[in-house]
Amino acid sequence: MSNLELLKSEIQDAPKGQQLTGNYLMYLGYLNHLDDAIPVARGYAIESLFTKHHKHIYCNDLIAGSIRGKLSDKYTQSELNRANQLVASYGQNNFGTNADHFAADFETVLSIGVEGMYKEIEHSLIAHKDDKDFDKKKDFLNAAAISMKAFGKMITQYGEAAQEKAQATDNEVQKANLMAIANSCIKCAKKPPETFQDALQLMWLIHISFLYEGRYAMALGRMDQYLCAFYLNDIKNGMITRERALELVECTLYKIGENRYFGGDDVVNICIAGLKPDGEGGLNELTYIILEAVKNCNIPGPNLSARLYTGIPDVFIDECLKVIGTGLGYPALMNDDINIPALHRHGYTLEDSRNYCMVGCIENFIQGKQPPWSDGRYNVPKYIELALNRGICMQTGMQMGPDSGEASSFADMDDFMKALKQQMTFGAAEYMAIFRNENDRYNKISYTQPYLSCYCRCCIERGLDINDGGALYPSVHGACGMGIATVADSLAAIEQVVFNKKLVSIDTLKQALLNDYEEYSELRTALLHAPKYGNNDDFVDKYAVWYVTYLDSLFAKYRTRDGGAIYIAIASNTSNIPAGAVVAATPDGRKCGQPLSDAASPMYGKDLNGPTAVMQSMSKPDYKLVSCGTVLNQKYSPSMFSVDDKRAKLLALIKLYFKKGGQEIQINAISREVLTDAMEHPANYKSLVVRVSGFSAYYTCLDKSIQQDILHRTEHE
Amino acid sequence: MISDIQHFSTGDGPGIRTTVFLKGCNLRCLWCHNPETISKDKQLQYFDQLCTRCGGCERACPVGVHKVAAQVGHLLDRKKCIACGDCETSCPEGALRLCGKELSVEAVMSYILEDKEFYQISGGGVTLSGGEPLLQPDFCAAIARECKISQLHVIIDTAGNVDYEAFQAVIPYTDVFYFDVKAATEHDYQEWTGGSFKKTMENLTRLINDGCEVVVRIPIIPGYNDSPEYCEKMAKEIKSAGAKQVHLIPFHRMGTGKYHALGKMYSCENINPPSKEHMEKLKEIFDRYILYCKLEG
Repeated sequence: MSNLELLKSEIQDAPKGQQLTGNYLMYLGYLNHLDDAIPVARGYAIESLFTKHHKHIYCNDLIAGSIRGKLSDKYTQSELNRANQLVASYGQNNFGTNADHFAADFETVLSIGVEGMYKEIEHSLIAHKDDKDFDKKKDFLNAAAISMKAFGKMITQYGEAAQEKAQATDNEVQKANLMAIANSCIKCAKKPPETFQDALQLMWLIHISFLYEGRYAMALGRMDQYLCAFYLNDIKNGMITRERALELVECTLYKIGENRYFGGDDVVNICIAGLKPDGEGGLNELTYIILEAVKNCNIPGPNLSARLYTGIPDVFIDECLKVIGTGLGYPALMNDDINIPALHRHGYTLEDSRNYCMVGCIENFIQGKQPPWSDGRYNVPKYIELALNRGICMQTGMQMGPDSGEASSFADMDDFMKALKQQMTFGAAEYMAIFRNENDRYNKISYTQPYLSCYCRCCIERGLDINDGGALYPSVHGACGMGIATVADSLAAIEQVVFNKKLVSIDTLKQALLNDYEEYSELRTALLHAPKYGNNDDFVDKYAVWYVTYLDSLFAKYRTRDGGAIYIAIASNTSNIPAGAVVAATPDGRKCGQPLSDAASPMYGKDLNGPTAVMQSMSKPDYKLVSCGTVLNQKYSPSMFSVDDKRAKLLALIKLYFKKGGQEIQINAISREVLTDAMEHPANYKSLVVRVSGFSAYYTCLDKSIQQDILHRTEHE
Repeated sequence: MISDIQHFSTGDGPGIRTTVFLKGCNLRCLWCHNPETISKDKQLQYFDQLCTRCGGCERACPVGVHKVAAQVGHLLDRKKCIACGDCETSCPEGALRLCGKELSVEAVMSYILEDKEFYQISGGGVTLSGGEPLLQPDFCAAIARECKISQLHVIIDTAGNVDYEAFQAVIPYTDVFYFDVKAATEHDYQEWTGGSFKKTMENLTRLINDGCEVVVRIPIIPGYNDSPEYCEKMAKEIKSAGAKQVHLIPFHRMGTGKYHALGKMYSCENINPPSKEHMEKLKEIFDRYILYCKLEG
């Protein structure tokens, strides 16, 4: 058995009936510093968390760092409750408080080491000592120093634990591997990493430390770039083989799945390939090693993203397709030729724009240079409903938007579009107000993040928290436009059925929607037969083009509180289902409460002319305006991936799609039959992995309605 | 008359292709997977699993083909159908489809040319299939000629049971012929397909002698032509016709639903597709006689 196989079985054999005790460890830290300033108390809480958890080492591991130390049966429920209460009172970090969906600046710590990080903090303390707000900066920097020192101690403890484990085993292979871990850890606790194993070890323990803090969706970013020099140097010096490097990466990435065995979940994005900051192609040997490791791990955990660019070798795309074809559903393929200009236009340097990665599912991110990500859903189809009904919600009768006029007063499509824009403009203002007010609730002191700030450029140098002006670039927010296809299809149906063919008045259409098409089945049929997005028909595609342009113009005038941009996104994840639940019947023939179209894809079952037509339609909008990113979900039968000449067709399809301006594509390789059968016999399909708009999951763990949704996405044979 | 045009066809030749299915066939192969392409007339297809029994078609039909009721389901009196297509436009679910469109060369070409960039990047093109496309030789020749003007690769997928004049009409504009051979003897060919083996093989030989690039395509049908001995016979016949390339295509049942949609029974519904191992074995036999043999499917 390979190392990976041994580790797999060891990890899968997870303890049962234990509780998460991370908060309890933080509580112990707070208890001794109740009278200190909040940032300093936070520093000690982190210290307690990092240094007091049990350092679990797997016998068959090659890279230390496990979240098993979070679990314990030592504390009673009432002790844990009490701890939770105190920890929460200090302001606990999560996605809502801008604490995760972040890719750390691994580059700096890999080059200067943990001790180098303390020194930076000490320099900053001296540099700012005459500042007017030095008290605040001092607290923050002291907290950063306390937590960074605690992290150094944590690394040492992992090294010692590995050493103990090595001494306890008689298995020579394990002993050697565990000693190698111990050596790496003890070295990395102070000095900068020297070897590939050291660098990978340090990267992984940083990631693990974030998980102890309770963060989620922390991306590893451009692993193949910032680790490549270490790998090449080891190869040059004959210190490592490709096979060994692959094993090291496998043992690292497989542990991303650890969470799932404790009933948790995580989305860890890893970005491979793409242009380097200098504009050269970034493909290297490590890119292929990571791709292969992800394939061999065969878990939904690492959300692998592959950045393609003009001139990237076909053989790499082909390797990506082979991995997708295993049923993993990733890597998601990203287009540098769109994403780089989409970011550059927001004022990032060209070098930084080229150095982007993804956090969460597909959200574009400048690694280690901006605060954690936030986003929200902007439910565009709802505004069609409001525009037809004087701003009144058809489901509840509540006034939700401005009175944009009686439907009967709309003489042509232009009149209707005016009303729609009025509703959307109001909706965007309301959305932004709610977002910013919500954000303001998390004050910078209670929610301070001294440890995370160490991994974002300029925070230490400026002596400021990552969410308090410390980060090099300001925070950005993603406004996710829902239901692009539902909107395009609805507008095309109104134009054709109401204004061109004049089959019914717009007032009748409104009545039909209010009645959820009861007694209006013939009108609904006519609307269903109107042109649909995804069939390369300009009559409807022009509304998707408009959607993207208008959404950008709506949000371009807003900023986050610290002056950052509002990106738009067209990547709904699975929230097209809940978003659809609050939208009445729409003019595309969709009934009240039904799911909206998924992400940037055509409405499922409506793209009847095959994938080339989908891609023709999809490449019409200007995605350089969609700085957060889009998701096009496509599903092909497994045979498309297993046969060389068929895979070549898929490769050609993707290349042309990107050449024509497509931004992103995610592919699934599972047949309808398998999915249907899996719904009936889940026990037989426990290892079946599918990709649900932007992240992967085990199919049998999904909600029934999501299973249906995946099934409905047209399968292109 | 066209039954369908399909973008991104992946099984009909090299690269990304658009396949035009012409309607009408002079053979009656027992295993045919495109039953809707046999008749040259328009035909109503009804997909029961999509029907929600809304009754829209019953109200729309001028001659009373459809009877829809909750208890009995959806009954069709196909004899009355005048192929007007009103029920198709009245159906919200796409459960009804009038198969068969008379399209102009321009209309077909504009659809084909939508994907021109995809053909270029993938080394693809256009395949004319059916049905028997060469029952409409002038139309095929016109499409193929237009394709050549646009520098598109053209394949014609034929069973070859037509007069050779039909081939002569398209030869100048055709890059490759996909030529079906389904049996090894006159008796079997007639019994299984209703056509003439002699005519088929004469056309095949002549086409090769005329310098055309020909790929012989053999559907492998369990219980008919799938024994190693029988395949050896076919291989000999094909070799003596001078063919250099053979594709073996395993039987599949995916056409079953289309039979039911036409209100017909499918006699091969219960035949199991041949296994991959068996196909490999048959390929070895053909490899002995034919220069280049490939498994499809």
